[in-house]
Order: sequence, then C-alpha cells, then structure tokens
Amino acid sequence: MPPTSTSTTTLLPPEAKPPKSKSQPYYSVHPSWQDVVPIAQVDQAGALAAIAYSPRYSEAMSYLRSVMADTEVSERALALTEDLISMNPAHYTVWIYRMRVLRGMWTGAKAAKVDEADEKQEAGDEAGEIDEALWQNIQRELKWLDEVSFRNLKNYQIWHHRHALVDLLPSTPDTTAFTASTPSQSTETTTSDRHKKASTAAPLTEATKTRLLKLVASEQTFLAQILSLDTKNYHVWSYRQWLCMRFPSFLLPSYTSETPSSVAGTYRSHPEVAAIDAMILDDLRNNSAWSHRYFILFGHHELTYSNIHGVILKNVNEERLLHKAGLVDMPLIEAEIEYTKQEIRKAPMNGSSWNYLRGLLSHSALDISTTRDFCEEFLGPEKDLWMDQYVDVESEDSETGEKQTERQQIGVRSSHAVEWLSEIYAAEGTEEGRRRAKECLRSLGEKWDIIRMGYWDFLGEKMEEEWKQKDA
Amino acid sequence: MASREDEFEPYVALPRYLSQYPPIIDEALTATSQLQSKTVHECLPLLNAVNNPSSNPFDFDEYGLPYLQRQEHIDFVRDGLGELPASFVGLDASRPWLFYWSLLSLYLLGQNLQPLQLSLIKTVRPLQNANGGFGGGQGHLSHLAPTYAVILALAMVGGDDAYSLVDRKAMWGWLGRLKQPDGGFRVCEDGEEDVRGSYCALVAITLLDLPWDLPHDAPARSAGYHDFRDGLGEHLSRCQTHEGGISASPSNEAHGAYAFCALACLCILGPPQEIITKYLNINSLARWLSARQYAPEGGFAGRTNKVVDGCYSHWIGGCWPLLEAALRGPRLDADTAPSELPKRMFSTEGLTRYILGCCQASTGGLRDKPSKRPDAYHTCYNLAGLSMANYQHSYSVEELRAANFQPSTWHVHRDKMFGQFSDANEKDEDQIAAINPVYVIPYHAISSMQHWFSKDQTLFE
Repeated sequence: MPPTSTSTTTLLPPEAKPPKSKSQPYYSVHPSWQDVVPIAQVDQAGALAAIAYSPRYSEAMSYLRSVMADTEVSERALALTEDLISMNPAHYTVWIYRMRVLRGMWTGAKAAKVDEADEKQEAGDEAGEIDEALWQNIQRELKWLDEVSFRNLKNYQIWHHRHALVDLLPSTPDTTAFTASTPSQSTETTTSDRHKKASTAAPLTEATKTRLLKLVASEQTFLAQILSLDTKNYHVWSYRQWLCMRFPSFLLPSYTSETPSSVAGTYRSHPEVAAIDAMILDDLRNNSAWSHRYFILFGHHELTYSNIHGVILKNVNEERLLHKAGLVDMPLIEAEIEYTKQEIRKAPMNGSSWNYLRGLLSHSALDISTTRDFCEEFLGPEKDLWMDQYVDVESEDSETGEKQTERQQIGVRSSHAVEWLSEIYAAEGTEEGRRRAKECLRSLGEKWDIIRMGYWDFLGEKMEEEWKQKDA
Repeated sequence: MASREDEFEPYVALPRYLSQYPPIIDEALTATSQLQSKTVHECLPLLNAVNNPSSNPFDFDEYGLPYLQRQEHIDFVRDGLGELPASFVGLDASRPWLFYWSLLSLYLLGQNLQPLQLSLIKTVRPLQNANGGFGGGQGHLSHLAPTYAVILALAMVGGDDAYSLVDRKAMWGWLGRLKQPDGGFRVCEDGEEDVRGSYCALVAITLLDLPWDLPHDAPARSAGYHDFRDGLGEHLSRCQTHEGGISASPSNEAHGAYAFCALACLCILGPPQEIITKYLNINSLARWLSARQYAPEGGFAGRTNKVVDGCYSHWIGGCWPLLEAALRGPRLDADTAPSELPKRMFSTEGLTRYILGCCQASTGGLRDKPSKRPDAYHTCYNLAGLSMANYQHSYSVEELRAANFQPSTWHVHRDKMFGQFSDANEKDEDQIAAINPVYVIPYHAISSMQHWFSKDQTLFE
C-alpha cells in the first residue's frame, strides 16, 4: 500500500504521540513515517483462530514488518517497538528487534543479529573499561524496562531483554568459568586448571569495577522489589541466577578466587545471602528462595566443575569429585545443616527445606544416617510410626481430681521424616532395621501419603531387591 | 432400623485421602500455606460433589466421578478456532499453539481432524520464514515453540499438502544457527536458551527426518560439534537440580514443564533405560516427580510448594511414562495383556478425580483449578494427562534391537481403569484417545510424517 493517501489525508503534527485509542490510525498519518511502505498481513479469511486486531495494532504490525525487512536502525523504529510492546508485551519478535535496534544505534551498525555483532560489541572490553556512552545508554534502557516490568509482572520477554542488555557490559575476569564450555574432555581435576580457564578476560580498572558493583547493587534492589510482588516468578529468579553467574565474584558468596577457604564465618552478611534469608524469613515455604540459596552456596561449584571438566553433572556428586578436589566447604555445610534443621522444626511438612537438606548431604557426601536423631524428633516421644499428629490425652487435675482431655501434638509430625527414616533404617543392615524400613514405607502408603502409594511400593520392591543381592 | 445418621451416609464411598484434609498439617502460616489451604478448600466440594444432596446422581459414574463432558469440550475447542476478538492480541505471537492445543484436544475427544486440513495449511503457510522455521505470526521471527506447534499440527492433519508445505532445507539451516556451544539450543536467533529449545529442535529434526549433521555454517561447529546431538545430554544433565527435578537452564529451579521437555528430549536421543540413567540421577528424579502429586486434590503441582494446576496433568503426568520406561526397560515379550501391565508409580485415580472433578468447566473446556477459567492450553493438557492415566507405553527387546529404534515405534496398552473408563464401558465414544508420550500426538501421525519425509530427497539436491 503506497502512501498515496497523503494528498487527501491530513497528517498529524510531527510531535504527535501514538494515541491511546486503538481505533485511530497513527503511522499512516504521521509525517515521519511517510517514506515507509507498510507490509499488510495476508488475507485471514478462513484462517484458524484469527484475531480481529484493532486498527492500531494491525497498522503498527504492518509498519514493523516493513522496517524489520529493511533491518532499519532508527529512533522511530525504537519508538515503534515501544508502541507495540505497550499493546502486546508478549511479542517476542518486537523485543528481539528492539535489542537489535539498540545495539545498532549504540555501535552505528545495521540491526545485525547479535551473534554476528558480538566481536564489535562489549565496547572497551579489551581495556577492562566501560565506554561512557554505552554505560549511559544501558542505564536509560534499564530505567524504561523497570517501569515496563512493574506493569507486566507475568511477562517473559522482559527478562531476556534485561539479560541481553546487561550482557553488553564488560565481563569480570571470573565470568567465563561459568559460560565457557567446550566439548573437549579434561582429565585433570585440579583447582589451578579451573582458574586458568576462568581468567581469560582482562582485569577491570577500578572505575569500571565500581560501576559494575553499583549496577549489581541496583539490580539486587530492583529484584527485591519485583520479587516482593511475585515471590516465585520463574523468569525473575532465572534472571537473578544468570546475573550471579555473570558477576560471580560480586554475587556468589562462596566464589573462591584463589585457594579455597571457608566462608562459614562471613557468608550470612553477604548481600545475596541476606536477601534470601529475608525471603525465607517471610515465607519459609518459598521454594524459589531455597533453590537460589542452594545455587549461590553450592550448586555453582557443581556446575562449574561439570563445565570445566566435561563431567556429567550427576557424577560430580555421585563420584564425590568436589570432595576429592578439596572444593567442599565443610564448615559452611555444617552451618547450613544447622540453619536448615531449625527451619524444618518450624514447619516439618515443608518439602523445600527437606529437599535443601538432602542437597547439602549430597554435595558434601555426608551419609543420610547422620540425620537419624533429627528425623526421629518428628515421630513424637513414643516413636510410633502410626500415631496421629494430634492425640486427645486424658489427665486428672492434681488438685480437684477432675478429668480433662487435652489435644496434644505427640504423634507423627512429618511424612518427610518417615520417608528419610525408611532409607536410614534400611541402610543399617540389621533385620530390625529392615523391618522398620518396611514399616516406614507401609505407614506412608497406608496413612501419611497415600496418594504416592505406587512410589512407596516401588521403593519397597527396590529395597527388597537390594537386600536379596546383598545376602546372596 | 435406619438411624438418623444413615441419612447422611454417602452414596458413594470416596477414598478418604481424596476427599478430606490431609493427615498432617503444619501450624506455621505463610503465604504459601494459605494459598495451599485455599486451593484444597476450593477443590474439596467438587471432589465430594457426588455426595452433595443437590447434585444429580446421573451426572456421576459408579466411582462418583463426574462424566467427561465430551460434547461441551468439543464445542468449546471449536469455538476457539473461530475468529477471536481484539482482546486476544496477547496471544498474537502464540497462535500456532492454539492450533496444536485445539487439534490435539479434538483428537483426544475422538474427533476426525481431516476436515481441518485445508484451513490449517492456509493458516500456517504465511508463518514460515524463508530463512527457515515458523514464527508466531506473519513477519514474526522464527521461534522453536511455534515451529514445534506448527509441525505437530501438520502431522495431525497429515497428507502431502500439509507435509510439502515445510521448507526442510531452510529449517535445517535455521536449526543449525540455534545450536549452542554448551550443547543446548536457543529458542530463536538472539533469544533465550532453555530445555524447551532442545526438545522442540529434536522433535523437528526427527519428524522432518533432517540429517543429524550440523550444517557447515553452524556456529556451534567452532565449539567442536558436528552433530545436533553433541553435548546435548551433558547440557540436560546440568539442568537437574538438588531437588532431583529439572530446570529451564542450569542453575534454575526444578519445574514440571521443563522436566517434561528434558525427559522427552532424552528419549529422542536414545532408549530411556540407557540415556535417562546415564545423564540423570533417576532416584532423585523419581522422588521429586512423585512428590508433585497432592492429596486430597489429586492433581499435580509444577514445583515444590506450588499449588496444583490442571496443565501439569500433562507436564508431570507426561513425565511418568518416560520415567517408567527408563526404570523398567524393554518388555521381554511383544504383547502384554492389560491384566499383566505393571503397577503405575503415580495415582491415576487421584489424577482422574482432579481432572474430571475439578478441572471441567460447566461451559465446556478444562481449567487450571476450580477458581480459574477454561482455555485451550488447559483443555489440551488436562486431556493429554487423562490419556496418560488411561494407557501405558512401552517397547519390546526386539524393537530395541532394531536399527531405527525411536519413540515413534513404542507400543501403547490400555491400562486397567475404573468407572467410565473401565473395560466394561469399552465403547469408543466413551474413551479418550491414546497419544505418543514423547511427541504428544497420535502414533500414526508420527510414523506417517517421518515416512513421507524419509522419501523426500529435496534436501541435498
């Protein structure tokens, strides 16, 4: 559709912004868009689930197709993406094009694909310096993005855009420990290997380091605000985890730069741990917070090891590779075990804290039987696997001799504890242990967690199978 | 003599654990526990509806399950394929999902999809880009999610015209540009990398019978890769978390939808009992999966301490046949009668009660939970979950030995079900259809499409 109508249509004044109304045209009557030939959508008659677009959205999309076909880099293209995002924030194409436009504007390139532009980007990276203009540009876009994020809490694309934006900043020298991954197999498992690979980026100047620290701190503040509104938002948490990997020496409390030394005495005051402590204090069942806690304290070591040595992740813990390499911070593990036990006592049915405790054991190669006494706490004083959580207990008042009943919590308070005890007892290797292990699984399948009976039966059969092999 | 209490005897004795509050409840109140109580509170009346004196007893089968409202759901889905008002603009980049969800729902409900072939072809043709792949709409960048949805929808309607629409040479080149040096796939050029990308890419490669070799200009070749599968198992292994579940990307939280994508992707890489065991800790995975099912609701939650949602009937429910296959390995004999099928590791009764009791909307369509509205997404994945509860999937030793062993040659067996889905009611119109647990479309749709593309020689002309 060539812009023939200009002679008969009155154009808007140049300063006119896109109207709120979705029924009015804008681009076709705006003076700065008259050189663009929009590409309309093909006929939708008979199409499945065709959306009856508003005239404004339809028009904006036609202009988008046109400028994208030309890979145009311009202020007006940027404004068009903002307009479309306001109408449909879930439009991934618009977000990606916006990023390409920004990169093009900031580097003077066409709206090239990011992969191709990679080498030219990361201005000043060689010198460990941030380019002043790039820094200002990123700040401006982040500020705009903050507002869009608060308006669209469930949106997905926003977080990838933020990721791509922050990724334009120089790398800290440690970043590549996480991102570098080659298919080559390394057989040596020394810490020095790891740090050789880790320090491929140039050292940062003090000024740059200060700026990056400032950015990281403001990101933490922003994330705390967003997460206070939507505490388990998967995309926000995923971005947060990426940020930690991108700036590990700033955000990972147990990131070891040289010789590993324990952080047990200091880690609770680290801002990232303090943020998670606060979230767990607010809701100790927030699994996203527990998951992040595991990642920042332990998981990143496992991932780094898997990456650098080309080892399948599950083998890192199963073969105790971190342990053998002296990379497990045992005082930290002990401090976290204590912390977690306290949290479990507050809510013994909380799957998040039990899973975290299991993670601690697996990471440090500690045996599950070390938690036997702790697990038995949740059976109540009788250690009766079948006793109801609350029991009405009859007693006689010592003075009046009157009988009274009182509801007491003396039975089983956690099905998780029963599950753990089935494993602990089974590993004892005695007949009594085996009997008790089977009893635990039976009580789970018949009383505490009946819906998972198929799974408890499966565990029971597996256990019997293992005993048969042992006894043979 | 009937006592007064007898008047309140339930018509149908429902299992206690699926009709009452759980046996242990923590005292500590937090936002999570309050939402959980609210969810149980909204499900219980529906789970017990058969015993509500104001209910019509003819709405329930002998197990107290409400009937599947087949015709209402068919009508709901068909309406969703008609023109949508402007307020649906938020779905503009996801329209291909609507085609897939709707077609699969109709198939599961026993409908013939052939009459939709022409309109589907007309609708998806403008979504394909010359440089490979399909976008969410015309002029949208190619993205693995809509590409997956379009290919599966085309496979379901089938036929030369549907298959020949796909430019597989361009698709191959585009997929080559998405392969990453860490073994995974981006969902689109300049887009994010997560296990959805890996699963969708492998579905596209195997359904279109594309070569496993990376194109010569694929950037991942500089990382030493030659094959789309290189480094993929290692990458997926890094997505298993301390909880045993699987996350979107290494370092993230374990999540049902990503767990399905990763497991299904591994099942395309090789036989489940070898490949899943090689790359994942199968014991912690089983523990985490099993813990996703809650009572009394009966449904699945996607993450630890989240509430049940009907869509996880598929995302978690769909993990079970894959994990069961990995734990059991191949069948020894070619045919197994339903009475000899192994016991399931999750409660099919609980899941069925949640889907039929809590997720059916009276207006047609299925939903997340009673307080939510039905939509195409939840309709599709609730029905897919219902199918998973009704059938078992396995493969035999002989099939495993075959050179072209892949999930499309697995076999499906009717499981022993109860109530309206029991053997006694074995009329086709009372049943829900079976689908392949890896590709999540009918078995025959996979083999027909693969066969057609295996004879298409245009790729290397």
